[in-house]
Amino acid sequence: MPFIIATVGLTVLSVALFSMTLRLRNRCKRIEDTLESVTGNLEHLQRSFQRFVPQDVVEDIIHRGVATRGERREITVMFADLVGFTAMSEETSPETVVRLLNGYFQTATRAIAQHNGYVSKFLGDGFMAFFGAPEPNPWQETDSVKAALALREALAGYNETLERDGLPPLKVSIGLHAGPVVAGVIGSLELVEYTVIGDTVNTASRIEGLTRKFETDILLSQSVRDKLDDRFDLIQQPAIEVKGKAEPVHTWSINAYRD
Amino acid sequence: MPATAATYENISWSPDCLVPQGPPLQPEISKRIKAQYGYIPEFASGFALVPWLLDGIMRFNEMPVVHITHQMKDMVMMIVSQDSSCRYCYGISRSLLQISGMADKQIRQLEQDLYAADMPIDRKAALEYIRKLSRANPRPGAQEEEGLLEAGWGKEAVTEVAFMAAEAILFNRAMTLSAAQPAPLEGMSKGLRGMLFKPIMKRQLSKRPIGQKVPLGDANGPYGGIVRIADGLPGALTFRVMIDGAMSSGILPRRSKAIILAVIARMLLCDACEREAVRILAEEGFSEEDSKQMLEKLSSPLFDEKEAKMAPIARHTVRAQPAEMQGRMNELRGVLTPAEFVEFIGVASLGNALSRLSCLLDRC
Repeated sequence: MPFIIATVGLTVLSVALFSMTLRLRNRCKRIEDTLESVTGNLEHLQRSFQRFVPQDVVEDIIHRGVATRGERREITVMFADLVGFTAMSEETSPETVVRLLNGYFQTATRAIAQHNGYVSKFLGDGFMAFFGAPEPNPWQETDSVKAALALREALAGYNETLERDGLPPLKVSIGLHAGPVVAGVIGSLELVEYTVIGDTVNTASRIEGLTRKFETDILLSQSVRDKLDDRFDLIQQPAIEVKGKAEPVHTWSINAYRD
Repeated sequence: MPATAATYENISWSPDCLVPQGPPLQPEISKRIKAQYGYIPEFASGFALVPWLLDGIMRFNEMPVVHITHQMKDMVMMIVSQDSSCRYCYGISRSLLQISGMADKQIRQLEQDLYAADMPIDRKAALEYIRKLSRANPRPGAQEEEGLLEAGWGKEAVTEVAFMAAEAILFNRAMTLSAAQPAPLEGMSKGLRGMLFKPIMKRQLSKRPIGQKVPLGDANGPYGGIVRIADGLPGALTFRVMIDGAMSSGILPRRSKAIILAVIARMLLCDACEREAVRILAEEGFSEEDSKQMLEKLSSPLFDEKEAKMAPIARHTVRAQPAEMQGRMNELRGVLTPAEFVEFIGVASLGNALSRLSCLLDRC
């Protein structure tokens, strides 16, 4: 009798232990699956973030909690703005404005990226891009001008689409300038971006503004001009005083590029 | 667009191998390739059009380790391949680590977060070093090397790790520019096949050679300064043989090869390699001013039709994502003969390796 009780007791205990082990294993598996899913999401976020910020900087932020890196670099800055868009947007429905802008930005970003540029920020109906950062680019000036020409051509194609939809064409003005900047991840805890600051940025913006004065769509500074070969068909513009600059600024407009 | 470290799933890769088919392989070469790969990869007969490239690849596959382990070598290959987004090398190296017994969890940790991976500090320090070398933005210098020495690495072991990383870069570029298709080995460690074959493959992997030092012999020749640093390591001899083979082959003109190497060196801001390429260009009739103008403008009135195409594409072999690199290589296929196309792949791969490896010159 004691033997039977002991056997039954052991059997019940074994079943209970087995059942508990099984439940624990299933629970561990569910936790592992959840962790795997969360890790996958984090990886996806990290990859998405790397579209805006260099990989080394992303890892810096992850492991040190803050972006500590800033560096001085020689880059080429592009400012691009849609001419007359603000006035047009006041007479156009909001949905159409957004649609026009997004289509234009998609077209523009592709043209910039195809020529090794990096669109840093959108500024209303314009944007700032740069060449030579986050990664060095020995031919950044040439790339920037080719990108501007590609944007000109791409916009012509986009305007054909707009015309078919009964919408007015867009017109872009582009300014290019090369020089030193400070590059880094800048902002607050709530909002950061990888960007560049310095006089080079201000000058590029001023040169974009000069396109109206010279009635052209693309203007580049002497520092960009110096690095181009003679396949670029350029027209020198008169030297002009620019706010914030002690010396007159020399600029060039561009007809075409002979490949 | 800057390259990003990839996971398996998101590497965009051409569905077709870009390397043209060459003539049937000679029996001894087929045997050697099968001994290394277990099958004849699609790119092998095309690579045979450029004997120095195929021979170099096989030499690297057969190369023994001296100061490090084969598992360390596989980890170096995986980290560099992940960083380069080389679908082919990433797949193979990951599979080798699984077969040789590394836990999936540990491999995943390496892939996701090298900093937090559970491994000895000296090994982690070495992998961080080689990732910096791979990214070359900027390349690691004397300070980073000092960190490895402090972590317990000997100078010769550091040199071997750097050469392994350069070898991985060379493979990555060769396989990416070729759009080599994923190897059958990738699936061999999983499921029923894994259960059956893994023990056999693990035993085979454990027989990979551990070697003695091999004197370089004649260390002169192009890029001798870089190769000489690893005198004694098998990798130095292999690089020496590849460089000499590349420079003396009659497929692409020597001048064209120097242009490719100079452009890659300029893209990676490697003064030593650029000087060496310009020296070769001088021997081929380019004046100092010609080379200077060529590198500033990435064009030259002295270029022939093929060089005018190759020079701009060479720069895109350095940092572009695979899809872009393979797109550019498609442009070249219409311009070069099959052998020239394959040799471009070889020279560009060699240039990418050498211009990163020259960071070791900082110690000299």
